[in-house]
Amino acid sequence: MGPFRLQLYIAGDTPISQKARENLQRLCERHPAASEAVVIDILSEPALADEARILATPTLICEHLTRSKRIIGDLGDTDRVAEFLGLQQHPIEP
Amino acid sequence: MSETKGGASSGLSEKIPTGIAAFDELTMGGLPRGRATLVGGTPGSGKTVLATQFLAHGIAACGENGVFVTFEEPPSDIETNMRGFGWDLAQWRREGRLAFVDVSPPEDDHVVIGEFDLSGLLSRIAHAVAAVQAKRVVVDSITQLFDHFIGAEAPLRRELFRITAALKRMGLAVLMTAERNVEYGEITRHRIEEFVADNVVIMRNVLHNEKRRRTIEVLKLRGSNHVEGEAPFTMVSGQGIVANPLSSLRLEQQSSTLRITSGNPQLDEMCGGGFFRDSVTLVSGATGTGKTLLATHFLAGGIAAGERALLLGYEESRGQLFRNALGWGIDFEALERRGKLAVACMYPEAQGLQAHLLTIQRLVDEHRPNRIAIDSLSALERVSSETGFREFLISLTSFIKKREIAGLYSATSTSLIGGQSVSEQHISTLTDSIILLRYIPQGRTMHRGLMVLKMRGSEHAKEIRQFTIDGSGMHLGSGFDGMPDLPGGGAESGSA
Repeated sequence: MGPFRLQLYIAGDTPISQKARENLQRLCERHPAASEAVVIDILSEPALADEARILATPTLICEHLTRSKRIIGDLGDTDRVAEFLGLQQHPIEP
Repeated sequence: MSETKGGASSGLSEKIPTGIAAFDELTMGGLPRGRATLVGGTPGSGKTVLATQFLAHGIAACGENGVFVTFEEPPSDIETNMRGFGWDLAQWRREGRLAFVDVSPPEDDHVVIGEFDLSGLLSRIAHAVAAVQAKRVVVDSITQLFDHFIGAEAPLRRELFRITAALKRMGLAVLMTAERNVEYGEITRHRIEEFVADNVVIMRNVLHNEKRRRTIEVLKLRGSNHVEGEAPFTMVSGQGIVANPLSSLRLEQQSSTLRITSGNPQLDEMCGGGFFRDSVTLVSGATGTGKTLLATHFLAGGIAAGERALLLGYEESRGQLFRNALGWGIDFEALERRGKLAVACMYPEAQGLQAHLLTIQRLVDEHRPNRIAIDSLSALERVSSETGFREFLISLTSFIKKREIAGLYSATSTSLIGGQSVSEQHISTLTDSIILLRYIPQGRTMHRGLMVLKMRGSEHAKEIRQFTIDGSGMHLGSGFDGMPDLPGGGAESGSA
């Protein structure tokens, strides 16, 4: 299994953007497979928003092999996020 | 219509034309700038066409660039679908006069986890508006957005309200479409009109008695007047939506006192000196009583007096009409060659009545006739609903009168010797004169009889006159001896 490419699209520095960034950070710490994360602010990168057809913000796009998934929202429930993306829990040494 | 405050701007907003002349009449100038207009309609009612026409007219005719926000079809599909109406969206896009914001659903699996807003959408629209300096924005369709985020109605409503307000503040004229489930009833699904729209327009595509009838109606125009009621419209390739405003249906034309010949001197006499120049005459009779003959005389009589004439045939082919006329001593072919006559024959079923009306208007513009004969209305009635037919007739009559053209319609009565069909009842109130042609049995012979039932603004003969037909046409004879048996003829026997 190759790495997951994660892109978080946000619109400016708002409380909701902030929450999404923090939740994404937590996700990456817990799941080494999800280490490649980029944050894109569409207010400064409108062309990228068009390309990704962003409608709502925040939107997390996860590209893995041929499949692509997106999550809309501030990613508050990290377990649900991990489950939806099919991320393995980091094995905890006994 | 009392509310003039509370909008983004106070007072009256400037209205901008949509390119649909009749719609601009309904809205008394078009759609207001700095306002949002919601266009609701069932699937296939023409919302996307109207929306695109609004943008196209802005770009092509008003020098106002546009942004098309699409939730449903990808831009390439819209460009393909709209080409048939004569709008080259792809070209305008390349020229920087049109920009798409593509929010058609991506194929990815998606889920909502946590709170979100639609800043992504707003900033993309704002970016597109800035890129092409747009003045008009179309959003097609809002309902799709709700289908995309099922169960998230509250944040969607809040966000849509915020986006609409932002676009209005930018001084844009915004047109949004929304789906309806039914033609009459709830305005839109999710009651979108309640929180985003200053103005509400409804497009309908009603199936009644197996016939389609498309209409457009302005339901609400905040802070401004509009014309009430449904206006019928049609979609024409190369043009888009073409509508006939209800206001044009008013019969307010000046009536002329100038007399013209009916084409038959004896009939002129019966009518008190001929038809009026801008009058419409109905010739009603059973099949074979001589309606087409009377129409032929009417046209030839006008041409003999130096006029130009137009014949619209919906029952017989050109060949047949020309043969008939020749049999009565009138050479249509020669008259056409001299440019005095134009004959157009069409299948009633070939198109809807609104499209037929446009065809007639186009032919009139092309040939500029002084008189026009339509043979027959009954054939056209077959292809329409009752309301649709009535609207067609009102529009046609008012159009003919506005152009100061003398009109003659023929209509087939359902029974051989009399009786009034539904169409006769419809037509009779709209036409100025009514001439009845009937078979009249007397003893063992069947005669043909003609009477002038009505002639607005003029004295006319009241008796039923016999007539014969030969190689030089119609010849009116004397009245009938005694009381002819005229069951249900609407004449003096009046038993209907």
